[in-house]
Amino acid sequence: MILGVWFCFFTPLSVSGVCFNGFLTHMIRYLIIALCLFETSLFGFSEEQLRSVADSTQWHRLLHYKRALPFFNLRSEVDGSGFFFSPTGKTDPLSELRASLKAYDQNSEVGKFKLHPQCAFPARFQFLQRALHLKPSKVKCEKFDEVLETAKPHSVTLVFSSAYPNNPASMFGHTFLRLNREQSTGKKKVDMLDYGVSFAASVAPDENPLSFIAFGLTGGYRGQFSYVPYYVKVNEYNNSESRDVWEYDLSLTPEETRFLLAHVWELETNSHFDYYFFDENCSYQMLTVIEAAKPDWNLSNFSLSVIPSETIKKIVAISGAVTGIHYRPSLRQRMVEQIENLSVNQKSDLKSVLDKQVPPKKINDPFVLDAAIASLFYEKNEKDGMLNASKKELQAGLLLQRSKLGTISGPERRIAHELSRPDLGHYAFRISISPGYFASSALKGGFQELGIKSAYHDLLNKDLGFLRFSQIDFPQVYFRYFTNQNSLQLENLEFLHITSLFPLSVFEKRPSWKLQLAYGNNKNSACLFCKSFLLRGGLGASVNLFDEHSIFYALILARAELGTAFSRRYRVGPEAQLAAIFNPMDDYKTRLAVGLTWDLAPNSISPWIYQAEWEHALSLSQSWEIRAAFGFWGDALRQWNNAYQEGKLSLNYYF
Amino acid sequence: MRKLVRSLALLLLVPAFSFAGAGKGQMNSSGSREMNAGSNQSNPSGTDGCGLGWQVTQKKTMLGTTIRGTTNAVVPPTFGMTSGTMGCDKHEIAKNDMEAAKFAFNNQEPLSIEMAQGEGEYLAGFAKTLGCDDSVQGDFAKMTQENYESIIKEDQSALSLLKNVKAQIRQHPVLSESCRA
Repeated sequence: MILGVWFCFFTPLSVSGVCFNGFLTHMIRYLIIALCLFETSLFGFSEEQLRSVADSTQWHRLLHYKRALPFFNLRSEVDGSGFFFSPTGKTDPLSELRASLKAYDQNSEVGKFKLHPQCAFPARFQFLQRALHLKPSKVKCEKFDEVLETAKPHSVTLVFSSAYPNNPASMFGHTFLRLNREQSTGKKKVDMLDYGVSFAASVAPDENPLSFIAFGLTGGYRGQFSYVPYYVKVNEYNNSESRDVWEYDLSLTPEETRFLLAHVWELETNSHFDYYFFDENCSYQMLTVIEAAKPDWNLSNFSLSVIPSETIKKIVAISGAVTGIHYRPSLRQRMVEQIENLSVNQKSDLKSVLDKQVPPKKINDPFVLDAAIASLFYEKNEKDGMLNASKKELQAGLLLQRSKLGTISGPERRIAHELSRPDLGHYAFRISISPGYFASSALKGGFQELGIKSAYHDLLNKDLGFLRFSQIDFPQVYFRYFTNQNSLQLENLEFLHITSLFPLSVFEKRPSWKLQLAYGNNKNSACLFCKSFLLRGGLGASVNLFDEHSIFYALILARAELGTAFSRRYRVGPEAQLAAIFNPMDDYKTRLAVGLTWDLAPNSISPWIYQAEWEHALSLSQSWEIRAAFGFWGDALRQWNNAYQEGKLSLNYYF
Repeated sequence: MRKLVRSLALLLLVPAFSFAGAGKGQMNSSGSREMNAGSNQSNPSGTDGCGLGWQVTQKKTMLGTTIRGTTNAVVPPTFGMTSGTMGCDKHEIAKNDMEAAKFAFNNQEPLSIEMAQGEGEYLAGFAKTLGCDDSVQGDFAKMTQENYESIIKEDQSALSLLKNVKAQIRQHPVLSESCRA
């Protein structure tokens, strides 16, 4: 194009050396110029215009172009070829723009529903119409219009579902979008019929664990958007799985909301994403579709993993993005609160009616009945939607009796229970600096430790934003410089540490459990600074101590260690651990733990080894924390004097 | 490259998940659920309902919940299924009643609980699908509680529930004017 223009204006007319008459020269010149302009207007746009659109943020967002690393090439994250009109569209925004413009007027049939390109890609072409002033569309898009008509989207809410009970991995959470209909003024909004847009991996329900890990990490599953009424989501998350739900209203306008839905439509009906657990997951794609409608917001630029609860923090941090926050407690939470609000007599009535000692029709207290109904509904959901015949009958009787007692105004919500709100929690990534000391019979001295943890939450962290008494820690690495010995070492590499403590109660009993895999300096062997692998896992039970914030737990673990630290190269045996965690103030926790391991190897020099720990943590903010830890490791029978002790003070920074 | 490195590093999670899978309970031998009929709540009348065409994976084993917890893995419906309602064509449901029938089928239990309590969100949603004006939500909820015994029957299908509610609406002085039924 530029060449053509240059040619038009700068070509010497005396080509063959013949000198034209002056007037004719000008006429011919004007004719050539006119022809060049005509050629330009055929395609309609100048090179600069096209380039400017192809380089624009919104074009990149609509096509999901990203760079893997700062100086890498652009590449679209959309994985199906049906999303691109150009064969090089996946890596070339300008080529894709040109091909899209060509497709605009073509009567072809594309995508899953074999639609005209304008109907298959409503968001893309709406953007191009605005950006390049294309002539208005005359194509009728019935299929997409039907979707718009059913959903009537007016605004968007980003919804977060939090952790299940007893499942630390679920602390990462899940996010999806709700497209809200217009609210009739003055009335309480009915959410149930709004549509929810969610992104999930297509996994068969009976997938085996090894395939699941392998495929999930490497993009072996296809990710799909689903589009279902919100009541399906509430039933699924809030009731069936007893997860708290947090709703964050976003400031998208009705037009932006419709544009978002149009973009989800064009993604889902023409293509797909490969699902990657760690970065291109459910919550990541929610951010990319919001960004397509809101190019001013930068949401999806995460450098490492994308954790759903961290995406909520990111959007809350954008000024003006979140206009309201609503809490939908899980079924379990509602049930627990209903029970806790009963008096001693009411609780006794509750137990009687649930144990079938008193028939429902003898209970005239709607609070007791509501608590009983909630308990049975919770139990039904826990048992995959089935209750035995006698409990079904009991529930029917409870409901019938309840219907005779009118409505009640429920007790005030206890705000303190809003523990699971994700934007209030500490950040996931941690760096720690710890000066400390150690002493054993052979050596002693000070050390400086540097630690890095990729995620997520341990037993000493402040629980606000998380599931209480749950730990899930992904790879963390600690380096120590021992000053007296002038030695820099890998102190500990923890691959995984998961703990789930579930305080037993009258109404619910579940086991507590732990799993840990680590490699590092073994503090419980005759050889100092010798490394070994540690794998331990097991079950136990917990109970609350004084209140719901404190806990005492006992675990029986299978423990295996492997490494040069032991003459036999391994140590295997059962371990018993007893521990207590106190949480007297929101920001301060302390933990005491003792463990005794029985080394099963025959002729072991020290068959009984112990460890004792005392730790403190003081949370200063979502980013800063101070900890102190003391530990003793030794041989219970004192057959060697290598009792090892250490203490350290840590400054932790979360981001 | 980044993905590969991370994948390799985290394949170490294999023992973790194997343990998790073996821990709490066994995987159901029934394997994958059927893709048609049924909602995520039990329907005592069997497959007579208007499902959304897919099933939420309900495994309560550690692995099942871990899968759902980390990936929200289900087999989701595409846009094409929004207007289709599998199973509904078997029954004589008027086009106008389709939304209400789907709602009743998918929310039968919470609906019956809220009817007994005389208030709630599901009732408000149900009323809307029946074409009731927002202003009569309170009347609707009250009506369902007062006539609970006539509406809710043992081992009832969602369609029977819908039929009974519609009958009550027709007899109600206010609702018969403000609802489509």
